[in-house]
Amino acid sequence: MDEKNRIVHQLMNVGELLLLSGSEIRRVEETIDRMGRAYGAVETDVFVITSSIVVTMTFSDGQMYTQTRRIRSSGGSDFSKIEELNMLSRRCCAEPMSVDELRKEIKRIRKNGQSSRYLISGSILAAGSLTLFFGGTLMDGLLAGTMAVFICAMQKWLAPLCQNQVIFNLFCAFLAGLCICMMSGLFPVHIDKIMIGDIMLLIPGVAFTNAVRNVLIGDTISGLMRLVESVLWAGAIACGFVLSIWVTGAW
Amino acid sequence: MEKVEMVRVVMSFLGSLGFGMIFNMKKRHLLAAAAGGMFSWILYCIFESYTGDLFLATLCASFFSVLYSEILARIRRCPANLYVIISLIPLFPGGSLYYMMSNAVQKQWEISKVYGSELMMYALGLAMGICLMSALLDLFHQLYRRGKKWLLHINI
Repeated sequence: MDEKNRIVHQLMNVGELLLLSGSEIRRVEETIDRMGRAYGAVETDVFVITSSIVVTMTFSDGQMYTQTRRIRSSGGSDFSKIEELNMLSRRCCAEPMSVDELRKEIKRIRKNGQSSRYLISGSILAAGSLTLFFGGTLMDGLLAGTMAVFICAMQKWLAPLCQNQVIFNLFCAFLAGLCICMMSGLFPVHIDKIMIGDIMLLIPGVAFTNAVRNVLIGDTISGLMRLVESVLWAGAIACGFVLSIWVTGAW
Repeated sequence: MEKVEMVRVVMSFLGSLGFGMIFNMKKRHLLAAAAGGMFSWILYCIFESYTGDLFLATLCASFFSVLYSEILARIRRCPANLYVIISLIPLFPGGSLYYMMSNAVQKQWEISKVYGSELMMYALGLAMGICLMSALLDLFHQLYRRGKKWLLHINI
């Protein structure tokens, strides 16, 4: 493959990885733009929405390259990756590295998986403290923490099976709610506080904040897309939990 | 300060810390970001006791919280978005969402409406706080750049 084509391909990889890690649209566009110019592009036209990246770069020798990338998954949040990609782009802009080196760096960053222990302990801490924050007792907090492990497990194993993020959230909330209601039969706890603590885990905070920022900066399409998505997610979660109460209450 | 308030402040710190871990933030950023979360909750409490209005309190709290996050992010050379999200976690209306839906299911429409409007106020206050501060900072950034160019221009 032509050298410049390979560069553009790697830049698309960077953009895709940024999107999948939860970056905002403006950052993805600017990163690809800056790196393209560092590699010698004279004109760059980068268009990014949450489900697609379209790039056309014109180099000094007059050759034009266009590539598109379809982003299918909704993307999670991995702030380490965003930070590392940011540092990589700064390095490249200061001193452009060879295509192979760039490819290796991107591969390394992509492989840097999140340590499960970090994720699970974070979830337990977050769910537990937020339950107490909203007024629960210590017992509520402990139970919420245990449910957080359950939710994490479901996010790992159930999510790849569900086509749609909204449906997954509905199921996840419903199953979590069932477990909480069953446990409330055994322990003296406040169901509502525990549920709130676990709702906060599933709430699309990143998506909502990014959507608002996107709409403000002028990426109205992406912003609205994400906003509608987050509202649907929030609704699905609330429905799931409430459905589970209704089911167990109706027994 | 009452014990309950103390507990909430500490929990806002721990909650933001937990979310920092969930989002796989690098360890050196965790404490500062969690402090941002605690800071935004304290601000919210202060504003709510002054104005008594949920919307204004959330607006001001998120406004200053974004300012704090952006400043910290510049100091630590980290994308600002990461700090902003973590700092805003304690302001997210999880409780209102839950109570609105649960009352709706129990057919207590009046109470559900109250929580629903609370949810809207929280969400709008958050959104507007983020928008206002981001717009202001963008403006200052542009002015700073123009100012620098102009200074260079008149020095030559």
